[in-house]
Amino acid sequence: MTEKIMTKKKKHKFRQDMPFYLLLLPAIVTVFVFSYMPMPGVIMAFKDLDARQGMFASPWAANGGFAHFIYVFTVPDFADAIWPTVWINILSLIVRFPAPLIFALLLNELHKKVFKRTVQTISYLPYFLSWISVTGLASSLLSEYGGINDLINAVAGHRVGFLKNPDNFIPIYLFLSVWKSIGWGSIIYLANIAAISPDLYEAATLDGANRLKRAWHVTMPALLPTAMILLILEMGQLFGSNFELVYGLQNAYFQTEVISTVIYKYGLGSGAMYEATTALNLVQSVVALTLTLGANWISKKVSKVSLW
Amino acid sequence: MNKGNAKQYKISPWKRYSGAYKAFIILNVILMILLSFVFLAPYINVLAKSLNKAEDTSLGGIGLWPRKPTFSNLWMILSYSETIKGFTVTILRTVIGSVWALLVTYFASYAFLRKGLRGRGVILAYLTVPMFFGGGLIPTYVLYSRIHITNNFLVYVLPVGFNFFNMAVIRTYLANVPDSLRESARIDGASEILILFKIMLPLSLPIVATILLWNAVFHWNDWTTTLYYIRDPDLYTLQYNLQQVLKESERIQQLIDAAIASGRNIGDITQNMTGEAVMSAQIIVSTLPIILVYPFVQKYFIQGVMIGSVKE
Repeated sequence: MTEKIMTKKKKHKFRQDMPFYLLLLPAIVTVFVFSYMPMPGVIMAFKDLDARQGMFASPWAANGGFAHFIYVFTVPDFADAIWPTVWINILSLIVRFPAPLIFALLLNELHKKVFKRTVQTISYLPYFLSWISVTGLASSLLSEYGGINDLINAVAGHRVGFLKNPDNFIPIYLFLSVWKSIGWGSIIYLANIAAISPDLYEAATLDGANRLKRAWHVTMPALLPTAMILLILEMGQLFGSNFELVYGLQNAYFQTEVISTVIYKYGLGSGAMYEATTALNLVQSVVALTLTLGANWISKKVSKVSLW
Repeated sequence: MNKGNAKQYKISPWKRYSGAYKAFIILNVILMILLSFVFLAPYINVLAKSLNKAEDTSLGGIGLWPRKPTFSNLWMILSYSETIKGFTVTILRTVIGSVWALLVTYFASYAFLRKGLRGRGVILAYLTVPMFFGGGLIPTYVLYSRIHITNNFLVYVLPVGFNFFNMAVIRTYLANVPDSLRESARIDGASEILILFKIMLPLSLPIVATILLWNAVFHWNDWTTTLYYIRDPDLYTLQYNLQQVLKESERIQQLIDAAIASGRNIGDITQNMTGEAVMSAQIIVSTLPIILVYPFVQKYFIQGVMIGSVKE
C-alpha cells in the first residue's frame, strides 16, 4: 500500500522534473558529442594507425603501446618544444599573474572618478582585439619602419631589427600577454575591493595604520581568495601554451615551437602524424590536470580556498 | 558605495595629504596616463597607417596621424570578394553562434534552479569534467570529420553551444530572482517553458545581454576553428583572412630581405610598400566594428565578471 503511494509520488515527481531534464538536454548532448566523444580517440596514442582497420582495430604500438610516447620525448622536433613551453609559461605566470592585481590597486588610488573610468575603458581595448590582430599590431609597430623604430631613429639615429632577432621572441610574447590581459583582469579585483566594508578601513585608521599599511593589511587579504582561485586555474596552463600568440608571432626568425604549435603542425598541418601528436597532447592534458588538482589540493590545505 | 567615497574625498582635501602621499598621487596619475598611451597607441598607429598613402607609409615616420590621408587602402580591402565573404561568414556565425550558445546555456542554468532535481549532482559533474580534460586536437579533428562537421558552417556554432562558466554566471543571477514569482505562475498553471520565456528571461535581460556580448566577442575574434577545421575558402572568417594576410606579408618581407641581401632590390620593394598598408587596412577592417562598439557596451561585460566573482 505505502509502496504504491511511493511509486505514484515518484512518478509524479518525475513528471514534474521532466521539463527541467528537457531544458538540460541541449547542453548534455552538446557536451557529449563535442567533449566526450573525442575522448576515446586518445587511444590513437597507443596504436599504429591503419586506415583500413580503423582507430580501434589498429594494432598496438611497439614497447607495450608506448612507442609514440618514447618517440615524442626523444625526437628533437617534439622534445625541443617541451622545455620552451614550460619556460615561457613560468615566465608568463610570474609577469602576467600579479599585473592585474597591482593595476587594480593603483586604479583604486585614483580619486577623480572620470579619470579612473577613462583609464579603465582604455585599458579594456586590447581585450576586445583578437590574438591574431594583436600580433599584427606588434609586427607593424616593431617593423624596421614602424613606430618604435621611428622613435629609436630619432634618438639614436639607427633602426633595430626587433623581429629578426630570435632573442626578442620571449620578451614580445610576455609583453603582449600582459598588455592584452591586464585591464580586463583588474575588473575582478576592483569588484572585490569595492565589496570591502569601509568599517575595516576605519578601524585600521583608528589603530594608526597609514595608507600603505591599510592596503597591505586590509585590501590584500580581501583579494587573496580570488587571487588563489585564479592561480589554481592558471596552473593548468603551465604545460599548455597560448597557441594563437605563438603561432601568430612565428616568422622567418621567430621559430620557437611550443607543444600546441607542434601538435598543430605535425598533426593537422603538413605532418599528419596522428599517433605522436595525440601522445604529446595526452601527456600535456594529464600534466595539466595533475597540476590543477595538485594546486587545488595544496590551496585547500594551506588557505582553505579551493575550486570546489 | 561610490557616493560614499566621493564624500570622503571632499572632507579630506588635497592640503591635508602628507607630502609622500601627494608625490604618490602625482606619480600614479602620470603612470596611468603613460599606460593609457601604451594601450591606445599601437591601435591608433595602425589606424593611421591604414589611412595613409601606401607608398608613403613604407618610408616610416607615421605616428598617430596619417601623413598623406587616403581611404584607398581600406576601400581596396573592402572591395575584395574575400572580405565580403569574410564579413558575411563572421556576422552569421557571430549572430547565430551567440544566440544558440545563449539558449543552450541559459536553459541549463534555469534547469539547475530546480530544487531537488534528481541526478543534479551527476549532471553537474558530467558538465564540469570537460573543463579539465579533453580528447585533444587530433581526436577532436577525427571525430569532427567523421560526423561531417568539418568544412561546415555548423563547426562554428555547435561545439561552443555550452559554456560552463557562463552557466555559473547566469545561475548566480537567476538565483536572486525570488522563487515566489515562479511558484505563483506555476499555481496559475503556466508551463515551465512559459515561465522561462515570459517571466525569467525578461527579468534577467542584463545577464542575457552580458552573455550575448561575451559570445559575440568570442565568435568575432576566433580564428583557430577555421585554421583547424575549415578548408573551404567560402567559409573563411575575417580574422582568418587577417591571419593569411599577416603570414603572406611576412613571406613577402622575407623575399625582399633575400633580394636586398643578394644585391637586387628594385621592383620587389614596391610590393613591400603595399604590404604594410594592406596589413594595416586588414587589421582595421577586421577589428574596427568591435572597437567602435565596446566602449558603449562594456558595462554589460563588467557586470558579468562582477557576478561571476561572487562565489556562493
